[in-house]
Amino acid sequence: MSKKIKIALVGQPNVGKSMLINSIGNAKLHVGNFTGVTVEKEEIEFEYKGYTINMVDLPGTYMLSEYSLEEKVTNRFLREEKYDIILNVVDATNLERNLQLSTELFTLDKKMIIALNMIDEAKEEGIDINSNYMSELLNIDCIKVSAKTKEGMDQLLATIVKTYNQPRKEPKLVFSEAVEEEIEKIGSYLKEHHFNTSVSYRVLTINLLKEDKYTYKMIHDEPIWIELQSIVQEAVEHIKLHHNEELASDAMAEEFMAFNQGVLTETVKIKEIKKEKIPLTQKIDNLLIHPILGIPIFLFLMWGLFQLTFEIGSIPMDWIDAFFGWLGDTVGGMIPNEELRSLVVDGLIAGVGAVIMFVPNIMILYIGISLLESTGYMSRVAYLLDGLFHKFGLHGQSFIPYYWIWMFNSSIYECKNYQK
Amino acid sequence: MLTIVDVEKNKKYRVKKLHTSGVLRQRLISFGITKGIEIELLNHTNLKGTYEVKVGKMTMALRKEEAQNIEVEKIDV
Repeated sequence: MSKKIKIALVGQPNVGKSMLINSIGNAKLHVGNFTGVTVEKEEIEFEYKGYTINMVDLPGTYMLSEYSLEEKVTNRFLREEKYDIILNVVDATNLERNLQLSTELFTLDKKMIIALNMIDEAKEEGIDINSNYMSELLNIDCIKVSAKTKEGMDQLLATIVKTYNQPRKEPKLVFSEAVEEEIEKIGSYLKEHHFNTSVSYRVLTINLLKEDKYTYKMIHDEPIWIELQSIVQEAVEHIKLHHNEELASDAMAEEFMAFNQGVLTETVKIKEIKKEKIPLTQKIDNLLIHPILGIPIFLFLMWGLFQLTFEIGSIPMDWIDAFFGWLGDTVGGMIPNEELRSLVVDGLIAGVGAVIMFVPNIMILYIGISLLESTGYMSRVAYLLDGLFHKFGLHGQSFIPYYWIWMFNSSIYECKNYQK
Repeated sequence: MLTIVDVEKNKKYRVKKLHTSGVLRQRLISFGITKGIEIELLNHTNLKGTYEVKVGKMTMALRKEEAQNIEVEKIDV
């Protein structure tokens, strides 16, 4: 009965997309895979004012490129799947880079909302964003939110419903005069020939100029392409000449960047906040990736985690061992039949006990690893080890699976010793 | 040709040209590394295999193979 709104959640890596999803209460979470690939797909569904809202968390991507598997998944989803609205999550503390993706999303010709996430951190850093003016400039609703403090979440949901119910607004993208002239030329050619397309002529033209493969694939099959080709080629030559670039895609990238820069100068004010000369995090960072000390620190931390796992883990291990010993004795005393007693005591109780005994170990290990990962230490280690690992044809991140193998080997070894 | 692998640490340089194509080029552009942008080398690993650079507000790590394709020029102060 209720209307279903399907939303694609798009953003660059580490902008807090997942956190945003988690901060919506009363939602059913569904975790699976994207069809055919081992990329995790997280989806939530919840009711809001008579609507069923379904959000798909797409893997983070810097641009609509296909550099990694994750980016491929996002790109294909956005172009081929059915959804109603793109919710573009951006990091308000790093708008310059984030807007690059946003403006590129404009060329998908979909309904869109921008969520300026981490607005609380931005405020702390003295970044003041005029979101109303930004919405006006881009002709796209820009909502200040914080997944952490839940600021602006109500407004975001209300905007989703509003956007769903109203016709699509054409986002504003303004380029330099030279490019606008070419867009006009190609646009009027398409208009003259009543070219039939699902997207607006302007969007189509921008995509042609930025050498978007999907657009070329689509238009290549049309008879109009025979004549259009030379017009586009001429336009591309003009733009390249104007920008003094060898590649049209570079020239267009410059155009997008200039537009973003323009929007930011109009809408963002940064107050200089007095800071220490080198912030503490930077100091810690410098130490962790120190050319000489970096690797010893890494080895020490790994050794520390290993010790923690087995030393602290051995305390609850002894308790569990004692408990199952006591349980075996007590239950054993109640069973007169010797064979049955052996089955229950030596088989069932001892067997289950031996498995449960390692739960504390695994728990400490998991907590430790996820702590290292969430603090970003793992990426520092990847930086340290990439040079070495690359020689073997591996990435710097590869040490994580090896560490796991090593830890599990050790625990299996320990486990065997324990049995003796 | 002056590239990221030969520059001095903690000095500002300007990107002159990217000597790469295809996805890697796109990738660098998406990080904001394009012609005319200021770039700064913060650190590199012992064997000069990985380079830590700063572009705008973002710090990132580049492999030698990537870094040596970014041509830069010194900014006169």
